[in-house]
Amino acid sequence: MSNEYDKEKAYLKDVAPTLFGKKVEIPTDAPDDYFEHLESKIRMRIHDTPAPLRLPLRRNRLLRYGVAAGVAIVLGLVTYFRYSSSESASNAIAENTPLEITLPTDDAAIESLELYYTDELADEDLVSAALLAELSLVDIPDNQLIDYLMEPTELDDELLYEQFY
Amino acid sequence: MNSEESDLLARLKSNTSRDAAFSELLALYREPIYRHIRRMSQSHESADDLLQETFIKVWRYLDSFRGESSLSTWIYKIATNETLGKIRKDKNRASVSFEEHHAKAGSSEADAPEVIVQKLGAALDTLPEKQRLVFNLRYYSEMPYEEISKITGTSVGALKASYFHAAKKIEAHLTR
Repeated sequence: MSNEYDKEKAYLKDVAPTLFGKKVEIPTDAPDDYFEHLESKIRMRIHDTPAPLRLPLRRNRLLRYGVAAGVAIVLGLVTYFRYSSSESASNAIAENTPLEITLPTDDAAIESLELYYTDELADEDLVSAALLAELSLVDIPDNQLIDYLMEPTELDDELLYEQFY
Repeated sequence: MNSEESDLLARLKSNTSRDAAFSELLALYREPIYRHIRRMSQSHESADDLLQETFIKVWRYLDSFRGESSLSTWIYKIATNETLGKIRKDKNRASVSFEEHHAKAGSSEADAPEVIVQKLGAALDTLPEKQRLVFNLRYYSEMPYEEISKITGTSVGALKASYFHAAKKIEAHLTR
């Protein structure tokens, strides 16, 4: 056996002298002639036991592609119906409820929108960022959101004024 | 894998030479694998059944063996899984201890060899099955830790610690 094993054994002799002083063998003797007849017993069992069913590689591959395609179709249908139902629900909500955005007014609320690291932003930018963060919590159709953002506001007027006058 | 094992594996995978190569494989490994199983399962009847199951599986899954470990490591791994599976199944039934399988020591002297063997068997019975497996593979089969690691799926460091603790526990039993 290797050097490593001998070194370990020498060390363990101090820790466990009875166990490593001389190897303690526990009985593992087999009955007489046991090993001589072992091979025939094993071959008989191999012969008697049917091999596990294995599909030919080509059919196996087609089967896998078929399963993958089926799963993809099911996922696609689920996603489509889920999206279309949520879209119609949000359209219904949007039609009935006027779009109202409330801006956070206290420091704690602004911090919760992860704006605390935006020290360098001007006040109007902070307001815009908060506005967008609030908007992201509401399920609004894209076209309605765009219309809302394109509406001229007092802030836009001020900026135009600064730019051109 | 050494060249002899590679050669044997190549013959095992070939349809023309598989039968002869399997006989050779059995002749090489039946005794060490039997002793390995027997140390865990205690009775000859269990060991016999498990040994046969091991080699049936070796025969059946030869084509899917990729040769990433040595042939002997792979066979030991199958044998170990079969044995541990049976031990766990039998845990629900009353398990038979080492003393019930082996004749009680004739001598009454504490350090008589047969008494030590009896005590060792009883001590092994108290070890958790995985620790016992590690102990057997290192102490009896003198297997390198890297191979034991592939069989058990445990890191070399953890194996060394487990072996050390097992040795201490067993020594405490032997010197009571």
